Amino acid sequence: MSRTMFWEALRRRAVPASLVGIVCIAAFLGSVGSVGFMIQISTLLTFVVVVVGLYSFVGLSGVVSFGHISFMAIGAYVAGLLTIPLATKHVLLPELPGFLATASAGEPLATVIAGVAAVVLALLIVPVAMRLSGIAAAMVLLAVLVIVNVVISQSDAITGGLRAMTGIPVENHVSTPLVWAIIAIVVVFEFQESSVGLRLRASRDDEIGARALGVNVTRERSVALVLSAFFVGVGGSLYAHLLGAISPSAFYLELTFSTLAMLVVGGMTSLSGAVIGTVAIFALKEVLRHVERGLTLGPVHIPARPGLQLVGVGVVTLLILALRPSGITRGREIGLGSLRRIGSGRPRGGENVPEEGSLAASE
Amino acid sequence: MLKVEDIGVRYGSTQAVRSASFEVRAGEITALVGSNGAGKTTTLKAIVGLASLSKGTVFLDGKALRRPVPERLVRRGIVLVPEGRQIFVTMTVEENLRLAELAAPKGKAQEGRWTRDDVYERFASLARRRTTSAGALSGGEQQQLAIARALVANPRLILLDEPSFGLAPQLVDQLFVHLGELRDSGTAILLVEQNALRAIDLADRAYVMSQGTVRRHAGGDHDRVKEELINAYLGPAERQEADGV
Amino acid sequence: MSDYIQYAIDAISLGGLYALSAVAIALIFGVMRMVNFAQGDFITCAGYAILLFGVHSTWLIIPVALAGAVLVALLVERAAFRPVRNASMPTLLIASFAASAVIQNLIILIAGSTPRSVGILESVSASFVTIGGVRIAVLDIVTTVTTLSLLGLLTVCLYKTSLGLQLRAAAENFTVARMVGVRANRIIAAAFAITGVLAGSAAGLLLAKTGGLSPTRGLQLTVVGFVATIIGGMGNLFGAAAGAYLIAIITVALQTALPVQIRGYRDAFVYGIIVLFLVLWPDGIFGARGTVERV
Repeated sequence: MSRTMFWEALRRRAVPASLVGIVCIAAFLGSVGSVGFMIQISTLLTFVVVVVGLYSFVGLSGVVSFGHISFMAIGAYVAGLLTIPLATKHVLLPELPGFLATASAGEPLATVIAGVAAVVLALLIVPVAMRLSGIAAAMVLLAVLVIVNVVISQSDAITGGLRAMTGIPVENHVSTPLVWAIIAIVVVFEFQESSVGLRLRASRDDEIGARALGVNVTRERSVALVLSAFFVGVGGSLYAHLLGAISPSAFYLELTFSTLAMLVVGGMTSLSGAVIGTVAIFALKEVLRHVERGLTLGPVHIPARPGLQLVGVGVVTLLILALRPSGITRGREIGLGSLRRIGSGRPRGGENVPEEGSLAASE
Repeated sequence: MLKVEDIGVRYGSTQAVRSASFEVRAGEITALVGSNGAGKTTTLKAIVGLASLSKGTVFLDGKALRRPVPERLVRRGIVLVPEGRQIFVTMTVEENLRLAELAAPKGKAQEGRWTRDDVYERFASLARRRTTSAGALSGGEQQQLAIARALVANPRLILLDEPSFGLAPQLVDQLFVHLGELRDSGTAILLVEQNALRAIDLADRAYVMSQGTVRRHAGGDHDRVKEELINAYLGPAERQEADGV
Repeated sequence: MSDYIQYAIDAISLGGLYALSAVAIALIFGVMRMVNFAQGDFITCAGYAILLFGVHSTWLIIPVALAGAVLVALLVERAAFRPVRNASMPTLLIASFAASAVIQNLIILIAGSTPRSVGILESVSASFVTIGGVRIAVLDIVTTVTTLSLLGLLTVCLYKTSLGLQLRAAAENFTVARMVGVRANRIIAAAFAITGVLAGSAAGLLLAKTGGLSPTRGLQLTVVGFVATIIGGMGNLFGAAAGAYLIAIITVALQTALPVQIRGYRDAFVYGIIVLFLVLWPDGIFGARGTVERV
C-alpha cells in the first residue's frame, strides 16, 4: 500500500473508532450506575448489535427487510435451548428430542451458535429472495417473519410455544453486549469498505447502472444478508439472556418496527446512523416509558399510559422522514469531530457517485 | 405574458440552470435552443413548478408566480407538453383528450375554444383512431395527440419540450406548420428545440441556452442568433478552427 | 361432495375479505408507489367506531364503519403520507409502517389493549339457508355479494367516471397527469377515501363473522393484502384481487387437507407456498405494472 493510501485508510478508521468510543462510554456509565441503569445500557448495547446487523443488509443494499427479527428469534431460541440448565430444561420442556435435551453450552459459545443458526436460516432464504426486486424481496422477508413466528408458536415441545421459554440464565452485565457491539461495528465497517460492500452500495444507489457495470447484485446482497443474519442472531441470544424468558410474540412486528425506526432515524445509509439512531430511539423510549408508567410532576400526576412509547417512536420516525429523510447523520459517517461523506462526493478510484434521487442524496 | 428573470435551479449539488432570463409574448413563438444538458428542460419544469427555483422569479401577466403548482397553472392557461410526448398509453385517444378537457378553464368565453370535436376535425388521423389505445399510435400520431391534449385544455401559453424528437422530416414539417397556425390564432408558444435552426426560423424571438445560462437576444435578429448558437455548440475556439477549414 | 362446496364457499367468502384489503393496497400503490401498511389499521379503526357508535342499531353500522374508516384514512394521508410524498420507495415503506404503529398504539392508548367482544348482525351470522342440499351460512352470502359489488363498483368508477380517469392517469404517470391538470392532492385524497370505504366494509363483515376486536385485529389483513398484491402483480388491481382469492383458496385447502397434528402450522405453509409462487413468477402472476424502470 502506498503511503497516502495508508494514511487515508487510517483516517477512515476514525469512523469505527468513534463509534466504538461511544459504546464504550455507554458501557462505562452503565457499569458505575445503578443495577437498573446497567440493565438499560446492556439492552441498549444489545440493540446496537441488532441494528448494526440490520444495517449491514438494509442500509447497504437498500432493500427494506421486515423479516430480520426472525433471525433474532432463531438466535434467541437456539441460545436459550443451549444455556438453560439441564435440570430445569428437563422440567420445563420435557418433550425435547434427545440431542436437544442434553445439549448444553456456556453463554459465549451459545451466542456464537445462535448467530450460526441464524445464518443457516439466511442461507435458506438467499436463493429465493435475493433475486427479487426490492419490494418483492421485502415481502418474502415478511413472509419469513410470519413463518418463523408460526413455527415457533406451534412447536410447543421444543420452544414452549406460546407460553414462553423460561429459565434462561440471566446475564445482564454490560461486558458481553459491549464486546459484541464492538465486534459488530468493526466487522460491518470493514465489510462496508470492502469491494463487496462498495459494489453493494453502488447497486443501492443505482441498481441498473451497477448491473450494467457487471456487479452481480444477487450475490452481493446474499453475502450481506448472511452477515447481517449472524449479528442479528447474536443479538437475539444476548436479548434472551437479558430477559431470561422469551416468547414468540416478542419477536414480531413491534420489534421489527422498533429496530427499523432506530436505523432510519439515525440514517439508513450509514453505520454511524445505525449506532446513533439506536441510542436516540432508546433514549426516547426510556423517557416515554417513565411517562407510560405514570409520573408525578409536582402536583400533577400523569396516569400510566401504555402504548405511549411506540406512538412516540412512530411520530418521531415520521417527523424525521418528512424533515430529514436521510436521518440524524444525514446518511454520512462521523469522523473525528467532522461529518465526512463516505461513498459519495468526488469519485475516488472505483467508487460510484450516487445520483440525485438515491437514498443517500434524497432530502 | 410570461417573463423569466434570472432564475436558477439546483439538483442536489449540481446547478442545472445558472441564470435564465427571457420573455414570451402573446401571439408569438419564442424559441429556446441550445445543446444537450444546457438546462432547457429544467427551465420549462421550473416555470410550471415541477422543479424548484433556487433564485430568481417567474412573472405571469406581470405578477410574480410564487411556488407554482402545475395542475393549477393548467387552469390558468399554461400547459407543458413534455419531452417524449408522454401520453397515457394505457388509455385510448378519446380518454387522453377527455382527461385534458377536465382541466380546461371553464366558463371563459374564449374565441376559438378547442373542443374534442375541433381537435378531431383538425387531426384527422386521431379522429380515425378515437378508440385505439394510445400506445398503438405511431410516433407522429402520438405527437399530434400530445399537442391535441394540450389544446383541449385551452391554453394561452404552450410550453413544448423537443416536440420534433424522433419524428420523420415530413412530420416535423407538419408540426411546425401547426405551431405557426397556433401562433397566428393568438396562443403564445415557448418552444424548446434541438432542431435549432428550424426553430429559430419559425420563431419571433429566440434565445440560446448554454451551460445553464441564457444569453439575451433582441427580437428576431436571426443571423445573430444563429451565430450565437454555433458558438454555444462548438465554443469560440473550435469555431475558429472550423472557419479555418 | 357437499363438503367441497362448503369449502369453496368458505374460500370465496374469505377471499372476498382479503380482496377488499388487497385491492385497497394495490390502489394506493398504483397512485403513490407506496405500500399502505396502515390499511389493516383503517379496518381496526372502523371496528372500534362500530364498537363505540354502531352496536346498538343495525342501520348505524354501515355509515359508522364507513365514516370512521374514511376519516382515519384521510387523516393519515394528510398527516403522515403527504409530507413524504415524493420520497424514495424505502422511505415510503417505512413511513407507512410507522403510521401503522402509531395508529395501533394510539388505539391502545385510548381504548386499552384488551380484546373486546363486538356482537353485530347476530341474526345474520346465526342463520343458514339450504340450497340444493348444501347448508350455506347467510353471512357468507352477504360477504360475497358485498365484496363483489364493491369491486364491481370500483371497476365502474375507474372506467366510467372522470374520477376514475384521473386515477388511472395518476397511476400511470403521476407527473404527466399533473401536467394535464389532475389535482395531486385531491386525487390522492380520493384514493384514500376509496380505501376507507373498502376498509369500513371489511370491518363490518369481519366483526359479523368473528366478534373479537383488538388493536391488532386488522394486522393480518394488511399482511395478506400486501402479499396478495405482490403475487398478483404490483399496481394491478385485478391481480391483487386474484391474488387475494388465491391465498384464500390455499388457506382453506390447507385447513382441511392438513392432518390435525400439523394444522397449527397452516399459516406457515400458506406463506411458504406463496413464496414458492414468487420464485416462479417474480413479477407476480399477472405481471407488474409501473415498477420496472425504463432505462
